[in-house]
Amino acid sequence: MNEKHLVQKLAALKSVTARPDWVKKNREVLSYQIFNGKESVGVELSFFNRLGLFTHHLLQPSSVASLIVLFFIVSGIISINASQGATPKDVLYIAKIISEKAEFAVAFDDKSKAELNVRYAKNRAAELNKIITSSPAAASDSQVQELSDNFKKEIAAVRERLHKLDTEASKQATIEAQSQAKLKLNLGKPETTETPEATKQEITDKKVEEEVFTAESGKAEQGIDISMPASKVLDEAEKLFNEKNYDEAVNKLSEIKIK
Amino acid sequence: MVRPKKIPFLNLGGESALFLRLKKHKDKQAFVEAYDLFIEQIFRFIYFKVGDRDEAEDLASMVFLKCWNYIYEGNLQEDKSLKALLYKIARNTIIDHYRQHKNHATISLETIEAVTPIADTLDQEEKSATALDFEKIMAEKLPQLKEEYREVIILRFINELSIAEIASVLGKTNGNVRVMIHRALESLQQLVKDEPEN
Repeated sequence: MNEKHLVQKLAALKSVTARPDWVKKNREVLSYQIFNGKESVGVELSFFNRLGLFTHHLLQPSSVASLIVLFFIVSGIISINASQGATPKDVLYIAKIISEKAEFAVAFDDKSKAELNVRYAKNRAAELNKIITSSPAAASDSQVQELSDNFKKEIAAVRERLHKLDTEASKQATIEAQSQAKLKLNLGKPETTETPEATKQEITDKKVEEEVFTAESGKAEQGIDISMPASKVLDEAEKLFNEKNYDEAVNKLSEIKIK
Repeated sequence: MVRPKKIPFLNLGGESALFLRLKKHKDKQAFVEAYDLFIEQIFRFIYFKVGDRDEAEDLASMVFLKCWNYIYEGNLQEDKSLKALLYKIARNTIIDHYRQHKNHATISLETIEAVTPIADTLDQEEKSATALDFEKIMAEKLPQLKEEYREVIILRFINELSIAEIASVLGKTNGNVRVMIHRALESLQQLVKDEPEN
């Protein structure tokens, strides 16, 4: 294939485009985000509106412009706070979802993301509980289904991140154990017992799971904290959710604490 | 998608006018207009880099949000072009994405056929067996190029940026960019030399 032909073929790839419905939806979300929760409509400005806009911007003193910016920041913060208790039926619900997405986008590592996934799962369960208890007749099947699906998605995401964290911590623990063993060997201290490899791995796995992600499930009679693996807590929370015990599911998820 | 009317002698919608409105006034409407202007090419750039449509959509959304935050925090003073800024943010977002996922997504023929066929985005009337074949070839060959070669191929030949614009995006001189384009094209030619022209 000669260069000219290759260039022509490459240029034809310009026809690859984003899905129109995604572009439109993304535009709406972006507009909403930057206009702080107000529904943004694609405004067709008339000539005089544009002239007015242009003149207004030219004449606006910077101090007044700063006050306007401050007003939008404060109203944005207020609207996001006000949206925290919103359910799918409320106008501010989209602001809540957008703030969740923005928060998730800037989360740094798997641990932070896992914490956020747990929080969002609790939110979905709480929203479903609110819809069902406040007006059971008005709760539509599609809303209930969507919230259930989103809850399960968040739980699945938590499990995946938990598994990833466990794997990484397990590797780290193994490396640490090996270097400790090497160190002892170099210092001439004999190892007291030869622990079989399988048992070593079990001990490491158990220790890692407890250290990385535990649930405070209560105290023993002696007042010692009993840690339950988070995966069991997730199972119990999911079970409560499936039994439509949404309130208890939220409480169960609250037991998960990342160390 | 609603596009505001452009008045000829008071054109508030051209790229440089948008940039001015953003720089001076952090004009939100201007940013939405900038989204309309650049979303397709930013999406395309990311898509040919990461090879997955869903990922490209997510990353493209993130690029515009990050760009708005950058503008809103008053960082636009040193930049000279909104287009270059968007591409720079897109490159950095992709790098962060690779770091988090620790693997470079490669487009395989199986992925194309099974999941997100590039060819589906073409108008049905324009599709032909040869067009589909070339897209599949490119989908397979582009990821085999060096990262910087792949970038200049996408920027220059698919998104049709000028040499100066590419230089601004990559932080290189015009001369460097010309040389890179030449080498990138040579490398790509080597990769596709055994493929049929039609």
